[in-house]
Amino acid sequence: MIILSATLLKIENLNKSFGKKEVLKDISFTAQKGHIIGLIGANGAGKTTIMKAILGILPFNGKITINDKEVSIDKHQPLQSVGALIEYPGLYPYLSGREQLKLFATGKERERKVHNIIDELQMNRFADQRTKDYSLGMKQKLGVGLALLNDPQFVILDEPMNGLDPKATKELRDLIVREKENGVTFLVSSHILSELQRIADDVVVIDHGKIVTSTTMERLLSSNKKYYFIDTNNNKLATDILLKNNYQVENKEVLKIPILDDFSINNLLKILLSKNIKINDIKQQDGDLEESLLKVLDKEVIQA
Amino acid sequence: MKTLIRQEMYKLIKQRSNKIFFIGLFVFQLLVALCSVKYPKFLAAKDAFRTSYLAFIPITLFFIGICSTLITKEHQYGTLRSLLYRRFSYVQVIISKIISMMTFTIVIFLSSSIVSLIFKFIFFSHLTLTKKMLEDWLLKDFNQFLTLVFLMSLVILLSTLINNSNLALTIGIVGYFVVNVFNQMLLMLVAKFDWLKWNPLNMMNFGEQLQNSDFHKLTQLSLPQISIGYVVYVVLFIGLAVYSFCKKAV
Repeated sequence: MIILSATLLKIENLNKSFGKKEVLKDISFTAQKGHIIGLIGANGAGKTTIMKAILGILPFNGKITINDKEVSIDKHQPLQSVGALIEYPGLYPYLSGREQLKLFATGKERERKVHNIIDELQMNRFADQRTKDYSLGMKQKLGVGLALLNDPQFVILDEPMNGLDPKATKELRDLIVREKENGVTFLVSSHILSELQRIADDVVVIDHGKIVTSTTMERLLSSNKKYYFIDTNNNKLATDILLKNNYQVENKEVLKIPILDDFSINNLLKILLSKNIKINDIKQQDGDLEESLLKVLDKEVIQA
Repeated sequence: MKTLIRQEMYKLIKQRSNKIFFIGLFVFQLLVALCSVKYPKFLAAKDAFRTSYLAFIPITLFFIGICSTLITKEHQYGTLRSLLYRRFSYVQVIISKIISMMTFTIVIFLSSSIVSLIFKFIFFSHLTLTKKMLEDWLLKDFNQFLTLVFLMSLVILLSTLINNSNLALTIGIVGYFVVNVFNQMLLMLVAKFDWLKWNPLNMMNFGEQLQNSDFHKLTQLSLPQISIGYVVYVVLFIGLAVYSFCKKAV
């Protein structure tokens, strides 16, 4: 059986200017239901502007639909099932975290929603403190909590890992993946590319207000070289042997061998073992998002 | 809209400054009542009661304060975005704020009136509460309420136009005093230049004219004229505030 995922978000020819400055130029992409989409780009590339346009808080030219319903500054109805954290969490300093969640909880099961989100984000320790006394990490957690509070179908998170310690970052990552498994769609921007690499299914790369590429994470990473790192009892000899056998070896201290299309690790090991080279360690390094991204931004063409 | 109003009321209830004001207003009225008992020449018992123990002064200053920061505070906290990127429209968001603010004003006015009535029986039991006195008191309260609503609509407009809460607050409070002083001068000018009677500040005298029909000699407007003028200007200020809010970049 083939499962076709439906489109949740569709952006067509999105343009936005501030005065004479064009900040978004003909942006078009889609987000499939239940996917995590990473929105990547340098500071000022236009990521937050795209997110604000989707949330109907910015006038724009073009068309944005959520579940086939159009969103604009005057049409907010489709946002009923959307949660968001944009730039930094806006919090009332005179309210506690719990009160803040109570304030924004809607529907019949408000108490349950508040209780669940405090538990899931492990905020019990500080939920009853006023938010004016919160650290950056606590505020960020609460901001994410507010975005996820009303069981949204679609969540927009702008730099959600900002200010979070490694433990909290992992907890948030796990929570996003869990919610995704429940069918929630995410649009996430983050400067922590390693985090995006772990969770995103698709990526949209923006540069100077234009889409550079819109593809799957797998394809983006596959555009970048993968390597084997091999340590032997005689790396110098091993390098010479491999070079004679037409292998590429990039770093001769530890053997760094790019994995090309016709590459076979079995053949390589057979060659080394036949020459009595002892293998101490083998590691495989996958394509790195940062390197892939730099390549994309350097205008290298990627087949999307 | 019900959700938005519930949320706005929740915020008003949870703000410590509002709770302090509520208690402070009671203390203020108590002090004025005690002053009136001790120094009746300074403030006669009848006048003290008729003016709800001068509750209008702190109430006006307080509401100018919170109306002038109605939007700027949200901007400052970064919460304006959270209010706007939901299923509700900009118009619904600002209207819910205005409705909540008006509801809060009514609650404060009612509570100060109840306190006045209680103080009347505690401190001035010798004073007979005649029908005339009761009417006078209620009309005075209503008059002050109408003036406050007019001022609030003007300050709300101001707060949607300015992004700085301190500036909006200063303009609001200074404006209130200027308007009070200017009103006396204005009435003199209205007597000289007939067309000036249609200016918005003249409509602020609606409550006064409602209480004292002879006031039309000063405003140069009949009661139906001033009441229509009052409503038109309040609606205009609120309408402009809504329009200005809808154009706000967040």
